[in-house]
Amino acid sequence: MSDEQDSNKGDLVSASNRNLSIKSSSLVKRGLSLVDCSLKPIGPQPIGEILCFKGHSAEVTCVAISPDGRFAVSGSLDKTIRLWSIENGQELRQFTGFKGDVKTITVSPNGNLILSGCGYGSYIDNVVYLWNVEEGCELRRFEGHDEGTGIHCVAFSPDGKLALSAGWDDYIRIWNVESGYEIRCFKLEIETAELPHGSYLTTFSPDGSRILCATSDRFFYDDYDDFLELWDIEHGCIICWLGCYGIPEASSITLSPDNRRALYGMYEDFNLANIALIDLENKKIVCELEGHKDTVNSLIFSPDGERALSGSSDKSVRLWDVENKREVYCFEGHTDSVTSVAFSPDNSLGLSGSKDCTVRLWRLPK
Amino acid sequence: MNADIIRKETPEERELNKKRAELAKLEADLTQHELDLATLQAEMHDFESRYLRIVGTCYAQLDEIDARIAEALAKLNPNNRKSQEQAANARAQAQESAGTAEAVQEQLQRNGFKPSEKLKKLYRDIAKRVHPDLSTNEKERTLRHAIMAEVNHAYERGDNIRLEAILREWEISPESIEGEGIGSELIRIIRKIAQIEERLRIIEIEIAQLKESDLYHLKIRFDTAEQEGRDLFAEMVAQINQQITETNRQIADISKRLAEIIEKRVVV
Repeated sequence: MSDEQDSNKGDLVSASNRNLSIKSSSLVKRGLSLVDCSLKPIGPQPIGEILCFKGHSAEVTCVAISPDGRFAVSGSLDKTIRLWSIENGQELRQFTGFKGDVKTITVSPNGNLILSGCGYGSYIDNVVYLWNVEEGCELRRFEGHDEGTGIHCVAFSPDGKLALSAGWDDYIRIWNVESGYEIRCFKLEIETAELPHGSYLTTFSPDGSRILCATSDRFFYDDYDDFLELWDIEHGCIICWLGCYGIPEASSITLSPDNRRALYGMYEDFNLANIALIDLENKKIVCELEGHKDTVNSLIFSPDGERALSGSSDKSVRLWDVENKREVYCFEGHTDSVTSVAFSPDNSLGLSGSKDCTVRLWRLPK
Repeated sequence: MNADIIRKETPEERELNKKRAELAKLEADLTQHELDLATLQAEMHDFESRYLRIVGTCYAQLDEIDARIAEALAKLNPNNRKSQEQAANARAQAQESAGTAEAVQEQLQRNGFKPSEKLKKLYRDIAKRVHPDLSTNEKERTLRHAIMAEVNHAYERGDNIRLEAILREWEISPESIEGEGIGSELIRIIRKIAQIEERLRIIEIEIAQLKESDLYHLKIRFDTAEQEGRDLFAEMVAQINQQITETNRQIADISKRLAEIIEKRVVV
């Protein structure tokens, strides 16, 4: 008896379920279109170009991705910095007011500030500008580099309290971000004013206690080819000087996050432009990565130190597996030289700026 | 051992044994297929009720507000037939969504159909014995159909106890004792094989149909998103709630306009 009741109940449940399926089909259809049209895509994403940010009216010289991975930042010869949404590709902000062409940018570790420097152009700008990302306004100017000189590169210390700028006046200056005061400066023994874009790199060591300075250039080829200098911030002295020998002049440089390795990009030579992987501890070339057909303008190590991106005058962006010393992928789409490259913090995306005035976002293979 | 005692297999017996082996294999196939179908159905039912409970309720809210807007607009343009029609349609849609959302609220709340290995084994054990296509007798087939339907419901509910009871009852029932007829056994087996093959074909069609449905496509997206560590339920609810907020703003505007018009009419 009780069995019979049970089975009757079962039939009722199934009957109501069946009705539900018919009734709910419109709600299911609406849900399906909501998921597919309005939400972030689901499932494995195709490798390659995801977004093309258009808006700059002149060559893009430098790019960066915010530490939270939500924004792309680009600087250009059109004398603007633009902030883009990585989620939908929209231009969110424009930072203007430069006298010179924007050459170098970096985003603070908390993502709130952008530091930028100028170079090139008819009017050379010796000012280092600090921007508030949220408000979209200029926050501070760091002034101290010689009049009539540009800025090679800028960087934030890992805690975001200090800023660094390397100028054409051969000085590296350290600034207090909060107060705006210059707290220390180092004079380099080489002349950097004529160093090409990207071949001169200064940054903080991962613990923030030292400054690293790396370059390689034809002008100094005879004396000391390539070097990595380490400066102690506290004392302002050179701690060591690592020379690497036998490399042609570099067109671009990047340091691994642990500062033990460097990548040197080279100029075009017989339709080839290699990238040299350098072991800084043992002062030797580990290998050369072949692939680019024209000058390597920009190089960057991935945040995890395992891979690297390169941008070249051959219009391509290439992804390298540094551990296994091989090319992983070649991204094509830019219609002119690629001038700058950047990684997203999670190593999954690449960003590139080009002379074609666009900035492109690429999904990298895993 | 004397060789004479070993009886030689007759051709019919050899054929019978071959068919028996074929039948055994098909029976195993059938129980697995029935299990697959029952699992898929249960998963989809479960997903559907979760989806309707969480997302459907939001849609019902949104539709209700949309209906109110359409009705307000119809009031604003009392002579416009199109807006009257739109209001009626929006109201019907809102009622439908509300009905669906209510119906699902009454159902038992279950979160995620995840059959245990034990439950699956129980299902297979029963299906192996009770499946209607294992019988050639029409009356018995009807009985077995009824039992199998109950087995499916119990499986969907994850009701181990009920399944065990069904199995026990079957073991002691006369239906569990198989017929002894030797002469007609070959024919019976051949018919069973044909029946099972037909049922296998139908199961495959049913599974294919289920997998073509919108509901299944939606479920796949939810499953994939979950593997990526995303909660699509929360994302959808947030998205629809945003639409609701937006629509509420519209309704406030329209109400204001309506109030103004009524005021003017009063003044006139």
